[in-house]
Amino acid sequence: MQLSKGSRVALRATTYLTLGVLYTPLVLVFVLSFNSERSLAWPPAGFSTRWWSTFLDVESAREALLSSARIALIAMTIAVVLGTLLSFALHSFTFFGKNVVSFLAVLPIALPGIVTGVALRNTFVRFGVDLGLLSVVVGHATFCIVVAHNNVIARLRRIAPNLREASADLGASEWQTLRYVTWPLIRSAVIAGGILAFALSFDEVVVTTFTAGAGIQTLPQWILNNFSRPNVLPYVTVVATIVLVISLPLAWLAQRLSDSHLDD
Amino acid sequence: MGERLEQTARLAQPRNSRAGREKSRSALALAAVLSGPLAWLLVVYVGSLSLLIVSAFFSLDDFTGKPTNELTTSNVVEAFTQSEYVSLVLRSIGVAACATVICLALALPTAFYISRLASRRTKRGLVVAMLLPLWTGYLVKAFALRAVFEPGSEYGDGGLLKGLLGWSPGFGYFAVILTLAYLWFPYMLLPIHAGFERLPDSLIDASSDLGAGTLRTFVSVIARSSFHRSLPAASSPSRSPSATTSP
Repeated sequence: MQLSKGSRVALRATTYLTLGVLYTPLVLVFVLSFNSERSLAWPPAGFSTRWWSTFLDVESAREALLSSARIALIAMTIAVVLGTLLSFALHSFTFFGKNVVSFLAVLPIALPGIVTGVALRNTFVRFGVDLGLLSVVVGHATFCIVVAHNNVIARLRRIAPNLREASADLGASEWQTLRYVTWPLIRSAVIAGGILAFALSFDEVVVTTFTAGAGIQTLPQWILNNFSRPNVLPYVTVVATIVLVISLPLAWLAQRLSDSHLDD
Repeated sequence: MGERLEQTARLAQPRNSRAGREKSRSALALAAVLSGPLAWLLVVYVGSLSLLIVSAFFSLDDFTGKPTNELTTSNVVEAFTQSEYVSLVLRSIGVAACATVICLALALPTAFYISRLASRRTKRGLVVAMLLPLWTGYLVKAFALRAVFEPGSEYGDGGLLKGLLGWSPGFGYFAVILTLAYLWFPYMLLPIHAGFERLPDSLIDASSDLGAGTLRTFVSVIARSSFHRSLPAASSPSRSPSATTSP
């Protein structure tokens, strides 16, 4: 297309400006976590590492971090196992109601989190299930299944069928084909799905709010409960920075893993 | 003739029974891989949703607020007629619509630059850079924008905007809309970018050969042919991580 130089420059400027706007608040939180004052004011009053050196003493933050990690790990494990199984079922078999099942898997993420949250809470309360770690894990695993499933089935579809046929022609049993041909090809997609499921669970707010009882607090809930309390505010910036520093490289890694092509 | 038939039958027989065995074995394998995830989705999710819908039609005890066994449609009628619920819904829709318009206004030029003008190398980098913030904490981002919009109070002298520009919109609808636009922008960008990527160059060339200017080409060719791709982005208020998992 013949674009004038001016409009090219304008488009380029909009793009990099948008990118700048996307990252400015993230950098801001990082900078503010080294603020010497208990404030979000700009410019920061001075440089200090005291919030970083003392945040582990804040018991509620430490516990929230631990329960978030625990919940995310368990939910991720359930989601990866169920999501991978589901991918095999939908990819390698034809059966009645296949489309319905495929739709069902996407539903928990397609519907707003609040629907999932309210529905699960309603069920737990009716059947007398205690609201705690277990109920949160069940909620998280439900919407994480689709993340693992999406990654694995995308990879399964990209595997050339003649690889499996070749394996069978060379006398491999179905199990050996799965173990030595299919599994190495999908492994990175399973790991990527796991990382994304972990990140999704670690970050979840709405479903957690509805399925967590009084006794349990995840990291996002800790942030939610403390951001307006001036005394704890500096620790919120520290925790927020930790989440950023951990999640950005993980997201990048997951992206790389799920992109790694079979043909190059 | 009869002998040949018999021979064929003999040849066919073992093959048939093997096929039968394979069929039942594959049914078994299907059950093995499907039963777990299906049971989870049906029992936990579909079960809860159904129960939720059913619950909407049972009245609550006025005193304890607990559900009773009395069937009623008054809950549903109330939700659609009481002004507080209706205005709540309208307000949500209004805020979401504003955020969507902002996302669209930024995503169109940005996606166009990334997919059509940027070099191959920069393109890859830009897409990843635009999508990465999706995977950092939702609340972390919201908190970060709080530090941007902080209007100044007894606890501080105002956030980034106030500090740099001397002005901040403060907390309220304006900040909420901008924050939501910030949070959902990558979801808008990705499908539009994918739409632009699939658009053949020849269409754009044809448009300018036929004498259309840049704006005309953009509106009549590019936007129109990619419009349906931006719809899912505009209509998905909930997170859809599939956006970053499908290349």
